[in-house]
Amino acid sequence: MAKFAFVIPPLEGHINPTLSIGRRLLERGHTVGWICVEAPGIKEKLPEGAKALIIQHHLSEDDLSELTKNSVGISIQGIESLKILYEDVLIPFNQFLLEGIVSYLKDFEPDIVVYDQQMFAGAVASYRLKIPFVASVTAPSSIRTIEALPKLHEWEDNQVISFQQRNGVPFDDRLDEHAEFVLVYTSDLFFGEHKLSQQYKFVGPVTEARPNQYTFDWDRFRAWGDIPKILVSIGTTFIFEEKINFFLKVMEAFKNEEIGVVVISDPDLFDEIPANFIIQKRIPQLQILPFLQVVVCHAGQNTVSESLSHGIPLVTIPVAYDQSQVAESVVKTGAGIRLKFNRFRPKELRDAVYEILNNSIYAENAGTVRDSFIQCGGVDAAVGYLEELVD
Amino acid sequence: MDANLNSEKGKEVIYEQLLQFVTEIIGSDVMEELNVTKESILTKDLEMDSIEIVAFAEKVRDQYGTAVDFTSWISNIELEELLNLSFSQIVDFIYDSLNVK
Repeated sequence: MAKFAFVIPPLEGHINPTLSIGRRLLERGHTVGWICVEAPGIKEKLPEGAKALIIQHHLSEDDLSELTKNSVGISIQGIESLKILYEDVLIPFNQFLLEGIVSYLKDFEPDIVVYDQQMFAGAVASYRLKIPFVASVTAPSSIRTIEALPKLHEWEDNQVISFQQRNGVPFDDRLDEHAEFVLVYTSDLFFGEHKLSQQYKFVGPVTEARPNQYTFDWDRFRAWGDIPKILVSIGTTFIFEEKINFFLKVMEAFKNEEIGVVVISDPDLFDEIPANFIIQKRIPQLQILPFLQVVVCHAGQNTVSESLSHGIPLVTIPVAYDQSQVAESVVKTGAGIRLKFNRFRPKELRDAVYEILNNSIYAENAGTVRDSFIQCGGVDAAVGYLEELVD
Repeated sequence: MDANLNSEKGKEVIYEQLLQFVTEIIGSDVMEELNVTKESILTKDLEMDSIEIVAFAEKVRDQYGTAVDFTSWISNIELEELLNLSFSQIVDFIYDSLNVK
């Protein structure tokens, strides 16, 4: 039996795949620890039997939120968000946690470290302690070079390489390149053409076995009967109030339609909630997805992967970070339609949803992506690769 | 090659052409709402994202062909420069490329 340590940021989308993989490793008798900064609810997320290696700090919840980009995003969109993400979030956050990670790894002495690719301090710490390491990529756009704009990716790499060099790693490439392998939670088909080496393991989205943490108004949902049902989500990392215009347009688009609309937002922001709407801050998304016909979202990697894993087509409305590229993958695979976040009109959103409802080709293409995900092997494949390292 | 491009009006013609490309990408209704000028910055003022910049670059390439090596030019643009890239910079690059001949 072996010992594995996951190094994760306190962000749901980045944590979730490690929970499923870690749970499976625990079931198979391995010892598994998670190194993460202290954050609300983080320990409760870990599976039974996990070692919670929590880095304590004296930051307030707001300061921590600032440091982990949760409160970024009011006006920062598009390419600029990439710059802010690295300069104001990832670099300081990794520097802040590096010594804590080193210290936990010394105590825990894992055989293998699996670090979230944005927690590159985890790679630096492993390298220093000569522990073999594996990268975990929840945002696959970060390993993609846009052929026409190669300098964007180069700039990202350089931020990480400078961080590594400041912290004692002599290489002039990213430690990801020196990892045992890189787990990528999507399929080749969805990612699109690439020149990545065999070291990149496309295991597909890993979404299974996530415990249901949230309540939901199932009575209201069932009362909608057979009408089409859609989910509208722009993720949970933005402050809902700052996106109120978006939600008002959603309401305008669907309030008079024969469509049931589940919206992830703060219900207190709305004067009146139409009968065909359910608005909740959090929902048991995996439990609701099987009943939906269309998902409207910000093209976050996780919501898109979860929708396509159920063969549900999408209307994507990317906001920031890598979402534009995820939205592009949706359009290229024919599994959905893309709108502009600030610019779309309620009618365009309504038309896009009806276009998908009335043309089965989108659902068929979403099904093709789903099949490609299944073929990747998911948790089984990821665990298989990890166990090969320690056999 | 359009003879106008070598005249005083050349830059204006190029600018109009670029506006046309951007309109095709982000939509005419959006363009009408924006006060686009030569100094407008593609990423900030027009909120174009990386995918749209790429689509724009392809249109420029298709229009001007080998006379203007726009693909290499834009692929060498650093992140910071891209965040401040205006129409006038692109117009100047295309105009200069056409007039070196």
